[in-house]
Amino acid sequence: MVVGRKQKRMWITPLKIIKLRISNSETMNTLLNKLENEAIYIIREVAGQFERPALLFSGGKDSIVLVHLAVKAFAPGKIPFPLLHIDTGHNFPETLMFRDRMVKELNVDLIVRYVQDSINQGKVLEERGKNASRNALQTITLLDAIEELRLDACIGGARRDEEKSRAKERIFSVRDSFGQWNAKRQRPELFDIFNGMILPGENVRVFPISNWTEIDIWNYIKFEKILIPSIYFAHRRSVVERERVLMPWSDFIQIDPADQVREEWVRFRTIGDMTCTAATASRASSLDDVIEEINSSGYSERGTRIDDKRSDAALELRKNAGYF
Amino acid sequence: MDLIRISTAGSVDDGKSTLIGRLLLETKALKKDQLEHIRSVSASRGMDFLDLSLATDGLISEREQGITIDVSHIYLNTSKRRYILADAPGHEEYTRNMVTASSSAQAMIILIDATKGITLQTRRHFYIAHLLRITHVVLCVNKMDLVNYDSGVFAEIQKDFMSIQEKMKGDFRTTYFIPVSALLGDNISTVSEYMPWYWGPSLIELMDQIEIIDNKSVETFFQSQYIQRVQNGHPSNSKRWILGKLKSGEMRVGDDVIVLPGETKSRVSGIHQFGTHKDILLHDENGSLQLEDEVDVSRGSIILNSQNPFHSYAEARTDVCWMHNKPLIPGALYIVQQGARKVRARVSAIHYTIDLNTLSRHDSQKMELNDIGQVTWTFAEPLYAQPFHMHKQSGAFIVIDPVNHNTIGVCLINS
Repeated sequence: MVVGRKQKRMWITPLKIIKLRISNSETMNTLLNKLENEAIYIIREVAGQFERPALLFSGGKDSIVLVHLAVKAFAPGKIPFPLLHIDTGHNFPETLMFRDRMVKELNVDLIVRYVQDSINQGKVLEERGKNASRNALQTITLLDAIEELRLDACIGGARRDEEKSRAKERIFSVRDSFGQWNAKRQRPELFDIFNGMILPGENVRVFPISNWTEIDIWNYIKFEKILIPSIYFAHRRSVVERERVLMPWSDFIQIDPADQVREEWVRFRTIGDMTCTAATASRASSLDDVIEEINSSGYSERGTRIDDKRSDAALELRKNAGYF
Repeated sequence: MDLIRISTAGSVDDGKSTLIGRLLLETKALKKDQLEHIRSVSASRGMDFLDLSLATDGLISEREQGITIDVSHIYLNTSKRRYILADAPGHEEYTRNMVTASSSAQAMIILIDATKGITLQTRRHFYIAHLLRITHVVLCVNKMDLVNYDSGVFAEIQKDFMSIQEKMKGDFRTTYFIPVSALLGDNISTVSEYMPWYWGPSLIELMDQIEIIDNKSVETFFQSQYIQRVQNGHPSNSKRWILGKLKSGEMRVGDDVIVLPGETKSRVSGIHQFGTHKDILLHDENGSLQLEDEVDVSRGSIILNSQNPFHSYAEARTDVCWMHNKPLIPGALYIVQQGARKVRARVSAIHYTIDLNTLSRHDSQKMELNDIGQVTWTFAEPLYAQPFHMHKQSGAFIVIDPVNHNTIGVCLINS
């Protein structure tokens, strides 16, 4: 574990950890089994109901679990739709390396669209200032990609326990031709019957892991021995403390003279852009440590997301505008 | 740990959001940052207590108006169970949201305001539990603190409620009554000392005790979602797999089956689950099937054990809950969706709509938003199912507007 932390850690350490700590129980517990079956049923509904779906891949643990579920849903066949990554240009390098390796190993198709292109085309304006982020800009790139690729369904890894406005999301969430979410216009969703019928220009966001909670994701990663990027585990990193959160230091954030950059043992509880994901001080170096840490943590998962802290309704507002 | 789905219902101002906030607090689902947020907002509004309703009031428009507008999903753990609470708002569009929230619920919590007693909404909610065959109904009489924890008030509400249940012929729901104060936390996780006259469990104790019998009907019922061709080396060597879900019963390799529509007989020659071969598929599991013969199977096809226990409905009488402003009109064309299968259909007659005040039946020419009633459908192709009260997995379908594609109603097959 300690050996080769700097370079090899990125890929090798998680693999090692997982191999060493395989849980003793051979059968999945009832809860995970039910959640897995529900998610796979939903993913197959997408394949059955839509002509050009895609799976929105962010490199975070939820979308990694989603890819794993999609692989299982169609095994031994190939996933009948591509992954779509909206690259903000501000990703953690570990995330991108992980993405490319995963795509190769799983033999899935990946489409990447760049926020930088949207900026170059003048479609969006780069934010300025101390807490500038490209997080909100990716909505435009996503909507453009949906139009360009004529996607009728986008599978996403959002979970209802994440945030208040997510809690009201349907599993099949219809968006109008502007990509907008309208809470008042949501279709009733009954039993296990999903209505994916849409009009031209509309598309559906589908959330197969809606009913999973954060700890379910981790337990599932552990049980299924799913590889995840190394930055979910504790490592030394340069950080800047800002408004009581630890921001990872990178070229993408503006450092003021008052800011103090220091090295800390940290890990990431969620992974978004380097500009909007805060680190948590942690020494959790294995999945068991991480699960233990989450179980005893007094704080919610989105507490480390700067993008949600902009206002009390930050995520709802972004969703209304077509965000994931 | 098992997974239980519960829907929660109550009229406006019964304190439902507070109850849910209280449940979150007492099961330690509220984290420090969330609690801190509730504390600071409560204080800024001049309250000297924690406004626990803030834990779930999500959307901007809801907070502006102090109401909830859509079904919200809340996750709780006790040491025994994971709960998914589907919380339906109790005002306009109540029936539509209530039915949506309750369709997959195994139990329902109905909140009653002790100072108001049984209301029209209570009847409405209970009627939905009755319609959807939800086995367990927990009636929480809230705000007991405002009636001085008086056992007489509680007994009166209980008596009133029993008289409603008696009116619903053939109702077999198990009902539980608990006096609570969501605001002060009485009888939520522990039994309250203010109500020594109440002998039962607290709400959370009761939730943990409720015995959930999965509706594991014996009928083997598999519905196909997606047909997959997997190439094995050479293109000519491709195999067809039927991907879908076993919605009830069990299915084994070697079982004789019948495929609908078409009533073609075949035999299960292989079962795959997520890339591995299996001998058996269990109730509620997804799998991939291979049949011995190249029979006609497409999305929505139904595969049953060879006795074919399903009815073929060219027409069906169903209970309806209408969910859209555009009324249901006899003769108009609709699309109905049963699981993965879609069929065109028309309503040939509306038999009655129900007045939930009196539970009496009325003649009607159309059904409006939030109406509940009974109609007869004529299907363009037969629907294969059993009545909802015998087999929930096959006996329900949704109604889709062929013009704008919205989901506009739900039907439960009666006969």
